[in-house]
Amino acid sequence: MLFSSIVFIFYFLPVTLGIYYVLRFSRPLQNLFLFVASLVFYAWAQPKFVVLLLVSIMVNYIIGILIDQTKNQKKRKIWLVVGVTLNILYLGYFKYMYFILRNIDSSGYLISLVPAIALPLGISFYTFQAISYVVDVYRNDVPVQKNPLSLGLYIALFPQLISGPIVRYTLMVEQISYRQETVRMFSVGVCRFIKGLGKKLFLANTMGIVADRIFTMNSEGLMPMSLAFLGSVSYSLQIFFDFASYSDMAIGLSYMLGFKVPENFNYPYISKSVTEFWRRWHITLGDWFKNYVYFPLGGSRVKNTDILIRNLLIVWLLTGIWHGAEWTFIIWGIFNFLCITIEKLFGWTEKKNIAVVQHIYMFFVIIFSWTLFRVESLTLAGRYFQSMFGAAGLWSDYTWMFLREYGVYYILCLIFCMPISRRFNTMLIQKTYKNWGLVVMGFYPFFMLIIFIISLSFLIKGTYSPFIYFKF
Amino acid sequence: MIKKFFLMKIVAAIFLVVVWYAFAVMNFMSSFPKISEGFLHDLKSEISGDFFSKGKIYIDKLNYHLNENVYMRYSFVELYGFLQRVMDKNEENNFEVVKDEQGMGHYQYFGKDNGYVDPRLAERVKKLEDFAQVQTKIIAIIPPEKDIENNTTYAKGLPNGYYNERADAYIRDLADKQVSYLDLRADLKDSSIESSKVFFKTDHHWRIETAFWAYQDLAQYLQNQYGFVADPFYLDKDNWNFLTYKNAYLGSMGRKTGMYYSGADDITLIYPKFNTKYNMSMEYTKDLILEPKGRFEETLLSYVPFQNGLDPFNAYYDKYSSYLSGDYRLAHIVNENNPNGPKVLFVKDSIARPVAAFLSSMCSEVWLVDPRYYKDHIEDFVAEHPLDYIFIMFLPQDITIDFFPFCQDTEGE
Repeated sequence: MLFSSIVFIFYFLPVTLGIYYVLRFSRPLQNLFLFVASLVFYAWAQPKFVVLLLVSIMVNYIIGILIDQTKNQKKRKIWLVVGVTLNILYLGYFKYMYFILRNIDSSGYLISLVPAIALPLGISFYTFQAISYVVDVYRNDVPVQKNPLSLGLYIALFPQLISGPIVRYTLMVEQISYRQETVRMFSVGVCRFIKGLGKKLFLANTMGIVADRIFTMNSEGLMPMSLAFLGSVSYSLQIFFDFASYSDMAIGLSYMLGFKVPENFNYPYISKSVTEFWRRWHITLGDWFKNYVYFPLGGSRVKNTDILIRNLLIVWLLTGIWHGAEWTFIIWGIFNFLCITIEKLFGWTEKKNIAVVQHIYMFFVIIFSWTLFRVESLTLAGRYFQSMFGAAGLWSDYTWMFLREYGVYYILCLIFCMPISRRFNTMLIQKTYKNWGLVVMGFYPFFMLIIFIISLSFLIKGTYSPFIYFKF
Repeated sequence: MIKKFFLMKIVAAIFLVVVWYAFAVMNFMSSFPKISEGFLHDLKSEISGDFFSKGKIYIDKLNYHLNENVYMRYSFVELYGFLQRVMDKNEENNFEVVKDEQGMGHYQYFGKDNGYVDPRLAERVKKLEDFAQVQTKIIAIIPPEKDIENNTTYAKGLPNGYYNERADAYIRDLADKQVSYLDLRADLKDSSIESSKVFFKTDHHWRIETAFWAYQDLAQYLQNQYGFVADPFYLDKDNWNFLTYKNAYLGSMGRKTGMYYSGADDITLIYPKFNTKYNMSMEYTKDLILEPKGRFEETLLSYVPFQNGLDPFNAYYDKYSSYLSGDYRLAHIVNENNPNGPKVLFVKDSIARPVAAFLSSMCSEVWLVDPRYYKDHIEDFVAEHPLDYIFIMFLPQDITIDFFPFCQDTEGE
């Protein structure tokens, strides 16, 4: 079930919220209902994988209990390794089995021996949340969760089940039992959800139309440089607005249910370095790798530069692999590693008075890396880059057509890539424009209502609505 | 000020929640009967598979009904179309419909101008002669494409399916195989019909007046080439009623884009003033056959789409489909007033329907086979029925292998 779907907006969410608040007199009942609703949400897309989700919850619950009840430190570590390994194997089987077999044996014989594997939705996200729980229990950062329902709720909570944010257990443990739903939080959540819905339906889907057309043309042959660049820019905008809007909706829904979850995006396209970019993009994934891979390896506080580089390489290889089972993702991860390493070695992020150069650098890095991320194979990546370097000429009438047809959307995308709304909110609160602020505040509810109604028209009319990060 | 800031959010949330829940309730109340009817019907159908597979199928079916039955659905479609028009868009909803500079809607795709058409198409038309009886003449009819030469222009870069080029390649192949053809596109240039009046704005079909002209042109062609008796009485417009409904038609493209984007069309019903008597058989499936009888307008024309108060967005009430009541596997028209007239077969798509209806006035029997629904061998049908003429008539965009399923088994012989 998508957040931007008729079923979710007019059936699932109103009923779920209604019953949730009717059950406010009993937190255990609320949690039980929320858990069941989350399973229904998940089952709507893939009924059979609900069983896997429940198995994952039970296995991690048992591992947590075993770690907690074992006093011997060595044995605790063994249970930790068992727990993490089981999660990795579970993820690896569904996500990477075909990739591994395909690369071992290109004839396809080995693959023919394995039953057809469909990728369970959200597996990369909820498995990482499960690992987070197991490791945090081992580290004694949190008490073990003795109530399997509460653990199940943490792992399967529908706002973040399918595409994050990846919320560490330490941030959720108190909220499962002691969260406080307030009118303010609910209201902020509703507005956030509508904002995300609008960004998804107007901006992300529209950029996706252009990006998909152009990348399809790439699979047919070389194309003019302007079209190739436009495709990369469009995909860069699509993936940002697609994922950021999903996070907005997930955070909005969480707020509506009384959960405070961390931000996942902080205007990444204003970054001046790749290092900064990854502090602003998919923040919760970066935090997860930082806490559970980078810091255990020693992080930046290591004896020498070689070890630092090794640590960075491991993290970025894993980040690439996490995103997908294809060589393009691995190369993409290595590309990010190279950029970050070079930036660290040459002090790129400390340089002053070269902001324009840094933004131009980031423009090319972003479109290059997202192009690599988008194409289906290294061969197609090579072809796309040839096009970007002018192998098939400069101009295409299609470039003009896309710009003409979607110019308004590109302008809106450019505006909303920048922290306009944050600046705007700050100015309102600080009374920068005095009485005008009150006028704007007066219009805000109508503005949000218009966004909602127009979103519905795009939703009901539009047949094109992929969620990119569902693939992960 | 922070209090006022959050008050702004709270008021916005109240607005949104009230509208949201009101809409959800209205949606449920208005859609529930249709959803439950559709879903209960689906539940009766047999589905194989394990528990989870069946569950997934039922969920998908329910999902379909929930998505299709939305309160005020077409108001939202109109709003979407309105926004596209405000943005001066020439394409709508991911190039589902493309508008030319004359304001006409088109179905286009990102095609290549390589002048290629599958050579098997002409071969299969030629092979049909082997199954037909000796006296049967086979003629390929190429109707005009909405992209009219020297009239239709597009904003730069819009996708083009190159349908005219496809039709040209098809004609070349037919000529190579010495199959007779009638290129209506060429004859249309000499007609008095204005280019802007050939097709509907909001539909991919030609106007009924254009279909009537095509019927006249076809009759003349048959008379000139094969001695067909093209009685001028039946070709004379004065012997036909022309009943125009202004701004009454929202075609297939209009139903997708809404009236704000595409506008609406006038539609003219053309039916005989003279006495007519028909038997017709409309075979939707082998078990569902309707058999109207009576005058032309009772048999070959359906008034259902012209009733008052119908939903213009409902494809079931498409007014172009009033001729022969739409497309289905097999139609058989018997003109009881002309028992000695020629027997003809149309292997066709929807473009042929009004032409077949008009031509029936000069025939004894007209058969129509639609390859999209007729899954038996068309060549066997041809072999079993004595026919004077077989017309292979498809829109240029339908000149593809899917519409030529006949004579496959004899390919390569």
